[in-house]
Amino acid sequence: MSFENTFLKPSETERPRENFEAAMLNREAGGEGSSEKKKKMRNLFLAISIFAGSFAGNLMLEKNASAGEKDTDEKISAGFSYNQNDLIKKLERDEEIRREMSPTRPYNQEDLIRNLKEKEAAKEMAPTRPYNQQELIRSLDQKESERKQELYQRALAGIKNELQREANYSGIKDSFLRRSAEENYKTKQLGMKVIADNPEKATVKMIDQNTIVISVAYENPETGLSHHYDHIYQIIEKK
Amino acid sequence: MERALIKKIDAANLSALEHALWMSFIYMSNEETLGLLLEEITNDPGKIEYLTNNMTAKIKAIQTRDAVSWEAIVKEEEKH
Repeated sequence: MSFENTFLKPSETERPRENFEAAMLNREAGGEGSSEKKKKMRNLFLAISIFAGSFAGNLMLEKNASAGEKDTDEKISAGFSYNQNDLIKKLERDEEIRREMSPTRPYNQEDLIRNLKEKEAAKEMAPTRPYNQQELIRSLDQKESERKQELYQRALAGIKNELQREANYSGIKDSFLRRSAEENYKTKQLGMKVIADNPEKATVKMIDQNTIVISVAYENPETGLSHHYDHIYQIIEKK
Repeated sequence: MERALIKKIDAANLSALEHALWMSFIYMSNEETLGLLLEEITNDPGKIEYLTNNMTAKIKAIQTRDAVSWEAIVKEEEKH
């Protein structure tokens, strides 16, 4: 499966998604065919590749779309589905944190949060102020709660703005990737609409001082199927 | 099947962003693919972390049009 053939060249003809996937699966699975397990793994790797292609397609579009917005004091990432450039940066930063925390240990979100709290606590325990653990914890919890609320309100405003916008994916040449991107965006829009219309259904989790994840479970009114949507909101401060 | 997969992904040691990537993958994938994924991570719970790294590395390779990284990822997959 070469990189160019898979993602950089537009498809020669318009093919339905099912045919495209079947062709790709056959191409991957055929030839090698040593064992059933190997075939399964190849098919799974291929599915991940297709997803990665679709995701990166969105990402490149976003990059182009946001090219003129670099002069703002801070850049707001309003969501998982359509501002994926920031998500990639975050993934890269996660990797750095993971390496920094321990070379042998996988990244642990709880450790990161604890680490941030300890840093805050160190600031509070200035030499001029007597140390009071309970007061300190209360103060940190209150600050965190206020910050979480602030991020949530900003995320909600961003979602409402985003719902007014129409995405344009005509820049993606490959028809399969373009359709995937469009379908993906429709799904995210549905999730965002549920958050905007029924905020009480959503749960909010604070990841760090600049990032929250708003999660919601909802039913697609057209298909009746249940879905889960995570909306990531992150403020990236200008360096 | 989606519920079983989500349960396993919730239980894995993933960051919120990696978790969100898998949620999106589950939504976009067909039953056959989801069956393969469930089978793999049920047989080997550590596999989800390997597959997460595989996915994020592919996204980066495509985004940066880094054909060398892409070939390295595909070559590494052959070991499995």
